[in-house]
Amino acid sequence: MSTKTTSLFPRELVREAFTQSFVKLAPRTMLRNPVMFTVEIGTLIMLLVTLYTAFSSDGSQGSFGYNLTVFLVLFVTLLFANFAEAIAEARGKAQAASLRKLRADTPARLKLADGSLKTIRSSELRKGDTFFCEAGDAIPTDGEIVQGLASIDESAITGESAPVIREAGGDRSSVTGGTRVLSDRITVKVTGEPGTSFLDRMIALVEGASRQKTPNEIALTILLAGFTLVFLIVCVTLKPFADYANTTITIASFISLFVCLIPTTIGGLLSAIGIAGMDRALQANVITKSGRAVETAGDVDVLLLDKTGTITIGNRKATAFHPAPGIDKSAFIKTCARVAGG
Amino acid sequence: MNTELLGVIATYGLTLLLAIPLGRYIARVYKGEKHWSDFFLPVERAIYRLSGVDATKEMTWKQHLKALLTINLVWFVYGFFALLFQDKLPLNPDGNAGQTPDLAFNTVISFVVNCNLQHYSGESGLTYFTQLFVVMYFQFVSAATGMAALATLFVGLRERTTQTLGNFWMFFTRSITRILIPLSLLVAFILVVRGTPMTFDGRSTVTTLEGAEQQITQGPAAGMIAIKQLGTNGGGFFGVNSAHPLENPDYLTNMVENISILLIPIALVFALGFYLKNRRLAWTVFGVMTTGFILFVAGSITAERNGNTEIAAMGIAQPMGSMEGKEIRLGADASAMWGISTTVTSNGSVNAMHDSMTPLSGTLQMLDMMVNSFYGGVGVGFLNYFIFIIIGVFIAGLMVGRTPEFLGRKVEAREVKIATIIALLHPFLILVATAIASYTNTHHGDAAWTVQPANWLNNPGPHGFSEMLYENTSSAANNGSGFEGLGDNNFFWNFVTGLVLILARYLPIIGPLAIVGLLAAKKVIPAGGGTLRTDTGTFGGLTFALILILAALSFFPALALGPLAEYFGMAH
Amino acid sequence: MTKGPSLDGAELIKFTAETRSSGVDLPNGHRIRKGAQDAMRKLPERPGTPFPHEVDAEVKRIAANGGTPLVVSENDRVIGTIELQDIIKPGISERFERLRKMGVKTVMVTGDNPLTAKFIAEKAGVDDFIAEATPEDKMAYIKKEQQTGRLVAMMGDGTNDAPALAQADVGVAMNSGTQAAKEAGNMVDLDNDPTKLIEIVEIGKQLLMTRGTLTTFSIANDVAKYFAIVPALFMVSIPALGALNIMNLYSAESAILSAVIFNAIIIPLLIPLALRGVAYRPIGASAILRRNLLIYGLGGVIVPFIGIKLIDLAIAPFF
Repeated sequence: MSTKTTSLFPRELVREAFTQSFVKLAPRTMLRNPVMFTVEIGTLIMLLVTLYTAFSSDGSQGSFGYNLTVFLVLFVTLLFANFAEAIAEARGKAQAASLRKLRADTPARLKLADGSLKTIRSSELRKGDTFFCEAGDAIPTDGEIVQGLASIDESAITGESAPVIREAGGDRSSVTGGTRVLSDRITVKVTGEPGTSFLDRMIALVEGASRQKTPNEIALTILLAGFTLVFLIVCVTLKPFADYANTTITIASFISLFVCLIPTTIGGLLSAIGIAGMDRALQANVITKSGRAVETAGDVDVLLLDKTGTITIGNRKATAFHPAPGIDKSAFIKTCARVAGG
Repeated sequence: MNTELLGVIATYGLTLLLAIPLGRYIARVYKGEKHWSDFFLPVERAIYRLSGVDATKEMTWKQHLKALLTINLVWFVYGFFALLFQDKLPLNPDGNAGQTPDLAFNTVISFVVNCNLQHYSGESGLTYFTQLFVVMYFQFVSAATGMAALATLFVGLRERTTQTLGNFWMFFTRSITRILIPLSLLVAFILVVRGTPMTFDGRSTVTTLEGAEQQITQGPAAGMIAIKQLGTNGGGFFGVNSAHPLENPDYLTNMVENISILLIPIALVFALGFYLKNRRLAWTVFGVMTTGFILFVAGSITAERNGNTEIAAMGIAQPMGSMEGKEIRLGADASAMWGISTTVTSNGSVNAMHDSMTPLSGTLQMLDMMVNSFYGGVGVGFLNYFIFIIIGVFIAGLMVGRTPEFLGRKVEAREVKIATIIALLHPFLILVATAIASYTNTHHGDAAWTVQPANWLNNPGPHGFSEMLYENTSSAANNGSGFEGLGDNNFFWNFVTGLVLILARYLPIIGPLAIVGLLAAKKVIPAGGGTLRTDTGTFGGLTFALILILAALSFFPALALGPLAEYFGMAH
Repeated sequence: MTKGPSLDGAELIKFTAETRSSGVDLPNGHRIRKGAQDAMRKLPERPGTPFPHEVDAEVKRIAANGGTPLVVSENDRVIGTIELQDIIKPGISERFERLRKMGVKTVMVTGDNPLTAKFIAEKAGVDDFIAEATPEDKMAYIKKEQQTGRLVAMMGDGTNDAPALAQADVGVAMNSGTQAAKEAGNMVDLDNDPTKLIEIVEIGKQLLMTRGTLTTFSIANDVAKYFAIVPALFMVSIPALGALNIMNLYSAESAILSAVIFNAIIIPLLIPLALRGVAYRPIGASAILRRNLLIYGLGGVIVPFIGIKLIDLAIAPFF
C-alpha cells in the first residue's frame, strides 16, 4: 500500500491491459456486457461482409476498402472497451499485488495437540489451527491471539510505522497476515481458510473473479440493454422502410448506425468504473468485502462517529489552571506539573 | 390572421383556467373527502349493488389490474357481438347492416381501448343502438378506466408505505358519475344550442337550392360528441368527425370542443399535485408537457400559415394559409391547433383532414403521438409520462451520486426493468407494424386479398409511407385519428391495428401500476440534503430531453422517409 | 493506595477505583492528589476543612463549558482546579459541514455525560450525539434511523460493536479491532482512521456519479450521430433528404465512417474519467444535477457534432 499509483497508465500495466483486451474478446466474457456483445456480433458480420466484397465482384455492398475500414473501426471499438476494463483491473491488481507480496509463503509454527511445535508453510494452515510467533517472526495469516501479548509492526499494510500492541482477550486481539512481531510471544488461532482472508477477498474482487454486479449496476445494465433493443428495432425496421422508398442501404451502414446509436460509451466503460471505485477504496486503505458496500456508502444518510479519535484528539489537554483563593498561581501550576500524567 | 391567433391563445387560456379548479375537484373526488357532489352517492351505491361489487375494500395493485382487465374483457365480448348483429337489434331506422367480423373486432377493440380508430363511417357503419350503447357507452367507460388507473397511481405515490391502493370500482364509478357525465351534459348542451342534432329520427330529406333532393344523416350526436372530446376518445358520430357541420357547427363549438379535448388530461396533472399536496411537482410536469405542446402548436400553425409551397410555386396566392382539407368556418390556425391538441392527447377527433395538411404539420402530429405523453389520453397520458419519470429519476439519481429515488421510494432494478420494457414497447409496436405493412406493400403488392396491398395507398412515395406510419402510430398511441387516404377497412389493417391497439393500451397501464405497486410497498425515505428533487426545472428539463431523445429520435429514420422527405422534396 | 515505583524519590500514587484519585507523595512529605470533584470532596472534608465554595463554582463553570474539571489537593487541602478540555481536531467541523451539504447527518457517540457531549457536539458541528453511550444505545439508534428508511454507517472495533456493525448498512471495522468486529462489518480500514468513513462516502458517491454522467453523455451523443448517419443513408436515393445533412459532411461514406470513428475514440478518451471518477462537490443534489447535465448532457450533444465534423474533414481527402 505504500506504493500508490500516481500515473493513470504506468507502462507495465498498459502492456498487460493490452494483452487482456484481446483475451477479453472471447464471447463468453463479452456476454457479461450485453451492449458490447452486440457490437462484437456486428463486428463479426462486418468481417464476413468484408471477406465477401474481397472475393466478389458484386458492388452493391460498397467497396472492399470501405467495408474493411468499418470492420477495423468496430474491432478497435471492442478493443478500446476491453482495454478500459483491463486497465482498471490491472491497476487494482497492482494495488493488491503489493499487499499480496506479504502473503508469500512464510514458515508457520503450528502448535500440535500435545503442545509441541511443527514448522509448516503458511498455506497449509487451516481454520481453527493455532500457531506460535515470537519476536522477529512474520505472522503467517489472519488470526486471533488466544494467549500472550506482543508489539507488532503493521507498517507493511497500514504504512503506520509506530508498532501496535496486540493481546489476547479484549478488543485488540486480532492480527493480520504479513505483519511482523517485534517483541514478546503470542499464540494465535487461525480464523479463516486459506484464500478467504480479507485481503484474498479484496484481491479476488478487483481481479474480477468474484466480482458481482451491484444492484445499481444491474439496473443500469437493464436500462442500457433496453436502449440497445430500441435501436436494434430502429435499424431492423429500416430495411423494409428503405425497400418501400427504393433505397438500398448497405450492411455496413446498418451496422454503423446500430453501433453508433447504442450506448457503447457507457457500455464500454461500465465495468471499468466499478472496478476503479473499489480501487479508489483500496487506495484509501479500505478493504471492502463487496462492490455493493462502496455503493451503499454513497447513499448513507446517517454517520455514527466515535468522539474520541474522530472528533477530538485522543487525550484531553489541560487548558487552564484555576488556583483556589489564597494560592499562588505559579506555585499551583508547579504543583500540578508534579501530578501530570499520573 | 391575428384574430385567428387570438382565438388559439384564448382557447388554450380558457382550458388552463378551467383545468386548475377541475384538477382540485378531481383530487377530492378520488380522495373520497366530503364534497357537495356527494349527492351522487345514492346513484353510485345503486350501481355498486346492481353490479355486485364491493367498493369499500382496499385492493392491491394486482387486484386493481385484475378488476380492470376483467371488466374490459366483458366489454369486448359484449361489444363484438352487438356490432356483429346490429342489424337485428333495435334503433336502426336507416337499416344499416351488421359489421364484418374483422371490422367488428377492430371497432370494438378500438373503442374499448379508448382509441376510436374508425375503419367505418358512422352514417352507414353503425346503428343508433350501437352508436349509443356500444360506441358512446365505451367512450365513457374506457375514459373512466384510464382515469381509475391514474387514481390508483395517485394513491401509490402518497407518502406512506402501503400494499393497497384504494378501490378500483370506486375510482371507476366516480370518474363517470362525478366527472365525465356532468361535463358531458354541459358540453352537449352548448352543442345542441349551436345546432348539433340530438334525435332518434332517421335521415332527413331536404331539397337543396339547386332543387336536388339530398338525404342528411342525423341522430343522437350531441351527447356522443361531448364525451368523445372529454374522454379523449375522438370517435365521431359522422365519418368526417368534427369537420362535419353537424358535429362542429361554428367557431364557438370548435373552441368548446377543443377545450374539451385538452381539459381533462391537463386537469389530471393538476389533480396529481392537489392529491399528493405537491403542487410544484404538478407544475413541473405541466411545464414539460406544455413546452412540448406549445412547440408543436407553434410549428404547425407556422407551417399551415405559410401555405403549400407547391401551390405558391404555381403563382397562386394563399392569403388564408394552406386551406386544403380545412373548413373555411374554422380557418388554418384553429385547424392546426386542433390537429396538435387531438394528437397530443390521444383524442383523435379531427376538424380538418390531417392527410391534407402540410408535411411539417404531419410530422408534428405523428411526433406527438410517438411521444404520447405531452398531456396524453385521460389518465393514461400521465402513466406514460410516469415511465419517463422513472427512467429520468434513475439516470439523474446516479448523476448526483445517490441510489435513485422518486417521492422517497428507491427506484431499483425491478422498476427500471418494467419502465424500460414499457418505454421500448411504443417504438417497437409502431416500427414493427409499419415495417410489416411496408414489406407487404412492397414485396407482396399483388397478394390475392380483397384489397390488394398495392392498392392500400392513395398516394405513392413518401406520402404513402406517411399514411401507413400515421395509421400505426395512431393505433399505438390509442389516438384513433387517421391520415385518411389509407384503405384501412380490410383484414390486414383491421387485424394489425387491432393487435397494436390491445398491446399499446394494456401494457402501458399494467407497467406503471406494477411499478407503483412495488414503490408503494417500499419504505418512504424522508427527503434530505442529498435527495434529488423531482419538482425542479432541472429535472423537468432532463425529462424533456429524455423524451425527445428516446421517444422522438427513435422515429427519426422513419419520419425522414415519410413526411420529411415529402417536405424537403417540395418546391422551396 | 497502591504505591508505584519512585522517580526522584517521589512516590506515584496510581488511580484506583476505590479512591478515584491519583497523585504523588513527594520526599518532603507533601501529598498531592487530583481527581473528580466528588472524589476529592471527601479528602478535605475528612480533616474537617470545608471544600472552598469558589472552587465549587469553578468546577460547575468548567463542566458547563464542556470541560472536565480536576480538583487538586495538597496535604488534603484543596488548592485549585485544572481545566481539561477535549481538543477538537482541526478542520473537523469543515468536514462535517461538507457532510451536511451532502445530506449526511453526523452523530457523535461518546461515553461523556450529556452536558459535556452537547457542548462538544455543538463546538464540532455534529448534528446529533449519543451521550453515555452503551453498545445497546448504538444499536437502538441505528435501528431507529433505519426504521425511517435511512441508511446508517458506523465504525467500530470492539467485540461489543459487532452487532451494531452488522446492523449498520455500512459497517467499517478497524483493522486493529477484534475478529468479530471485522467479520460483522462490510469494510475493514487498514489505517484504523475513524475519519475514513467520510472518504468512503465520497468514493461511493463518485462511483454512482461517474456511471450516471457517462450514461447521460452516451445517450446525448445520439443526437449528432442521427444527424450524421440518417441523411447519409438516404442522400443518394432521395437527394431531398440531403437537407438533413446539417453538418455538411463530405459524402455518405465519409459521414458514416466519421460517426463510427468518433464512437470508437471517445471510449479511450473517457477512460481517465472512468478511472478517476467524476469529482464530487457538496453543493446540493439539484446543483450537482444542473452542473452535470450542463457538462455531460449538453456537452454530450455538442461534442460529437464538433468531433464528427473534424473527423470528416480529416478523412474527406481519401474519398
